[in-house]
Amino acid sequence: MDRLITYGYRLFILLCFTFIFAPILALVAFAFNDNRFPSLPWKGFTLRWFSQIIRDPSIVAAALNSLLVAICAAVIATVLGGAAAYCVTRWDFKGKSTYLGIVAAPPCIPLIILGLALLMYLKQIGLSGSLTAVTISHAVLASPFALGIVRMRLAEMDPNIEQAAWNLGANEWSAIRTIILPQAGPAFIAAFLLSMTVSWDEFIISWFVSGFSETLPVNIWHTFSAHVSAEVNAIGTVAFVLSIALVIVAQLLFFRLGRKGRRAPVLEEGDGNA
Amino acid sequence: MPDAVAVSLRNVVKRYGTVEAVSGISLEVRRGEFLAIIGPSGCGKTSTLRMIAGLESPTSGDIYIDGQRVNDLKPWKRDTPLVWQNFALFPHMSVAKNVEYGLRMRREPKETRGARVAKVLDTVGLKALADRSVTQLSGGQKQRVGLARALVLNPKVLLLDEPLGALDAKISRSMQGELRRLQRELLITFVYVTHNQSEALAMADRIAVMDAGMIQQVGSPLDVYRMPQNRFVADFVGTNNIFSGHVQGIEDDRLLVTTPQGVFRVPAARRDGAKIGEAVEFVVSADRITTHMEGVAEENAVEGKITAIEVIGSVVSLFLELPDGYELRLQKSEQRVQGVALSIGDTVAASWSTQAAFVLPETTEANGLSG
Repeated sequence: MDRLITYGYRLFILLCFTFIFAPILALVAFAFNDNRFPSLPWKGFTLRWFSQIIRDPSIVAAALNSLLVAICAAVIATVLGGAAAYCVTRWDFKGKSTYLGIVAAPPCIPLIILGLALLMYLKQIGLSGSLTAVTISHAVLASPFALGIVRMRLAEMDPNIEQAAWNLGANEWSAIRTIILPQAGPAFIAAFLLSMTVSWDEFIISWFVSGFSETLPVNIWHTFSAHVSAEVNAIGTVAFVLSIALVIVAQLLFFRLGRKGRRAPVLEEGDGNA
Repeated sequence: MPDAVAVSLRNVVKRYGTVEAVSGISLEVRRGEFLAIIGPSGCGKTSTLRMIAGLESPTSGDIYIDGQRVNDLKPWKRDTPLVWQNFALFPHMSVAKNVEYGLRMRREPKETRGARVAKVLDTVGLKALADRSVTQLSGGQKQRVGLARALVLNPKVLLLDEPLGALDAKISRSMQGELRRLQRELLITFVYVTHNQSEALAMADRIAVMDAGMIQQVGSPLDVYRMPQNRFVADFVGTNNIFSGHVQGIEDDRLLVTTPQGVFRVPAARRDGAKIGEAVEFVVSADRITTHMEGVAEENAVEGKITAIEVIGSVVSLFLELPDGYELRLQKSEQRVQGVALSIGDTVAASWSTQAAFVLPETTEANGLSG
């Protein structure tokens, strides 16, 4: 009976994964299909779609734009989110829970609404239609993620150790530099990588505010709403591999850190059954 | 003699919102003494310690360290290292780095730091573990690091917040002796907060008993133990039986007191001029009461049934229920009751000498604030 349940679980998990990843796997597979149209039948293995996209200057430019935006937005999001995380962990203030609710909002607002709002706002201050606009928008979108990650780590730390540092002669800045940052470092890197992923993947807001400075998702949309080509699968594969790599590294950093100093509980088996 | 005072608190009040943690205490800690602040949790003792360290600022009142008013001095500008109950070590640093931290923050030259760290690690017996990560240490070792980290700064005043609270009983006892020895050798002023009266009684030169944000009594361990100044201290320190009644008669140097438990004689010395009918409270320590099995019958006697017997090490505690329901506590050394068959339900005649009764001062409010 137990064994049946175990197999049931495994089958369920397998089905879940299939459901989630089948479309992506299909995309990756077609990226290597030697067929002018991204569809069956399979006509043999090729790398020519990859070599074509590398030689397409508009795609390369868009990819570089995306990378630049992702890095800048991630830096801003990590600094803002990290600082906010430190503040909400360290101090209690009136309206703290309201504040946390509001700063967590951007990812919950429909992107099309957020995109429109950002477009109107950035137009007012004369920034719309530039990579700066995209960077700012993505920083807004990613900051809550950065805040969440850093906050989780800071909340795990013994609140007394910072005061212990003060007590031994470290002022506030020295204590942050010598005690908080070294311990929360991996969480900051994880926050940075995840923020990068958020920016790298984002389409709708970029489409609203980027103007002529296209990011990769916007470029894909523009190119392939005009004509369908198998190149799209190759671009998709590259974009997907980069995203997933960033997320995996972020997760590894975060969870390895979480496990440190904690031992897995030893499960006791079969008592009381005899 | 201001020079003899290391830390002085004057009418210090600490409020958190509407909660008053410390309600106007005044206390002087003498240079080189081991002062323990004891009291139940929530009595304000830790808030008091944190205010001396500058981790909290008083709502009103003044704090002086070495004659200097420090109310507005940031914690990192003070010379009051703290030893924490939960150690509060820096988990990403080795033992030696933890100990060196304070010197580094005080911009001590690198050349002298190593030697000072090595010396203090030797003092606390951790020389061999200098390069170990602090996460790999036992509780007792962690607290030695906590102690070394504070001592390396050669502080004038060392603050200790329940430093043995997180350690098991055996380690805690052996560290008591060590702390006492270190304090004597290094001549550092210790302000030691604990809820554990036996630690305080064993180590301190003076004890301040706190309750409800107020200091209830300050005195030597023996004073606090044998001569409680009010009902709270009598109840909190030692194991005392507290009786309340009225003066029924006066005979020379004794008062005759009627209580619900019977009529007892107490020394009159502390209540000169007491009148018939006046309310009197007195305590009889549990270890000053004898039983008929020991073949001794003192002047003041009661009879009760044994409701519980507890043996803790070499001390036997007996709980007697008197006819009116009062629970009388007795403590005997295990050796003395050896061979005496005691069992729950037995009726025991207990008695004590008149000199064993200690009459509480007339006012039950806090007094003897400065010691």
